[in-house]
Amino acid sequence: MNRAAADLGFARLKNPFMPASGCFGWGREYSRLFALDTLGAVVTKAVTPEPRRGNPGPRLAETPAGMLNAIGLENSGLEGALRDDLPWLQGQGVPILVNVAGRTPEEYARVAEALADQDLLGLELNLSCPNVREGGIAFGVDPDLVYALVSRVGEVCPLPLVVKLTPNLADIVEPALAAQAAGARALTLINTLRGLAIDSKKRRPLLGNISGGLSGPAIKPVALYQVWQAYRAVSIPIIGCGGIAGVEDALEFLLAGAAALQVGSAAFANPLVLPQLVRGLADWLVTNDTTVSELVGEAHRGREV
Amino acid sequence: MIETRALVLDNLPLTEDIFKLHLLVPEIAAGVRGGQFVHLEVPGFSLRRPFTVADADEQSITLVIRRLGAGTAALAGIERGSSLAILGPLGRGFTPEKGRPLLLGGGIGAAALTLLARQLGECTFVMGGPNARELWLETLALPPGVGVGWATEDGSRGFAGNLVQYAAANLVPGLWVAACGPEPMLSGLQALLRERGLAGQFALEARMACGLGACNGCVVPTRQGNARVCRDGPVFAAQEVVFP
Repeated sequence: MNRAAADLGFARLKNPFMPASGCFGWGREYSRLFALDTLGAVVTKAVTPEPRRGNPGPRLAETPAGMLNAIGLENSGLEGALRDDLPWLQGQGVPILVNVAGRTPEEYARVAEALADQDLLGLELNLSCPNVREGGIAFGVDPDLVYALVSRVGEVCPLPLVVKLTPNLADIVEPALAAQAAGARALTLINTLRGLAIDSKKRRPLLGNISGGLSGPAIKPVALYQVWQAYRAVSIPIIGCGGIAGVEDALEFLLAGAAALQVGSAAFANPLVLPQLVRGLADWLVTNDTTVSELVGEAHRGREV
Repeated sequence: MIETRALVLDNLPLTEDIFKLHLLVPEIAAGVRGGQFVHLEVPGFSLRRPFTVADADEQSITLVIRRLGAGTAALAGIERGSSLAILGPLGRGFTPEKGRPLLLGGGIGAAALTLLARQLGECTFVMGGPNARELWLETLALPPGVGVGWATEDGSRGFAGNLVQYAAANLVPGLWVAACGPEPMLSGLQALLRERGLAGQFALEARMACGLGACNGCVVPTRQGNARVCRDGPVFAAQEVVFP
């Protein structure tokens, strides 16, 4: 029996662990350190229809218990992804979620349509990037836009759609419900929290983009709460993300209701964190004679959902 | 490239804010080239710090580090016998071209050139700094074929002036230049090299997250578009880099 198997409804993964989009590129660099098929899935860097240069530097700032990034969706575009990156990753024997971003619903649809007949686990629609002026977060905060965008992509692409929502709003439930109503098969919660760093020596904002997205252990309680809230509202699976660095963190997210887990900036502190989590959780499940499926949402038991 | 742990053999101050970490890490020491770097854990901090390998023998590497922020201050206090997670060797090092090598290291930037000097064996290595107290190059044992010179802005040792002024006075045909230092220095050198038709390579520094080329956190503009300092560099052809 595979105790670690993670059930996404539309697919069963051998374990719940995948990298968070943008922290892992297309996996080439990390494949020099471990076999990518160790993972439940790989989530790619965001793909936009045209190449993007991203934001000016500096793009990174360390913070207490975390970091800010403002990369700005730099990527080589749909053509580059289809030519250079996707074929390589498809040879690694790991299920793939391609992260998709755009400035308009039509841009998302364009990328999704071009990927529709690829052998993929699904698409992760990035409705939550805090570091681009158009698109991204602007869609994720408006339930009507979430609904319209996810529906539009669903019209042109039969692949399972995972919607990555932003925590930069008052209530996660409405956009979560809108995504579900529009046909999303799962949600990823959460993207980074918008934040700022000031360089006191230069007396100016540190990041080239002014603001950045906060990630790391600092955001774990926020992410856990949003996973908890969404779990009580939607029936589709949730992929938890935000500050996961150890087995204990992973357990907390599963218990709060996440069916699978993404790991982002923890890989910067420890490039082997993903395979270590896979092994660590497997050992924990044996020791405690349980399974991932039994843990998902367990913390809600006894409470009316 | 390997992820492993390094044992701190020694931690010595070289100047008021520069210190030298000597790390036992044979897996990395064996294959490192001048200009390559390691990504080093700083206990208690979320991100690692990239440092060029300043020296290496078969078993160990030396890092020369400037105390700049909280992370490097924590490293300055790290005790002998500690163990730190380390990833390396990373990035593209120097690839010497035709010509007599002239190495120009501004301040802590000189640390990016010392292993190159050892691997070249014969070269001229000029270190620049504000004054004689900031010059730490002699504390590393360089091969006898390395001719060391100095440039100080206050004239307290060697050439009086900065390294761009030094280069303006000393860049002659037949030289190949390897340099690392603050941006204004590299930008000034780039113009001089272009004017005089000399080839050179610059080692750049940047804030990094992954250190591997995955996160695009450390990109700089080049003539070919954005380049990742960690993977496409940190060493670039002098005329490739676009300075703001």
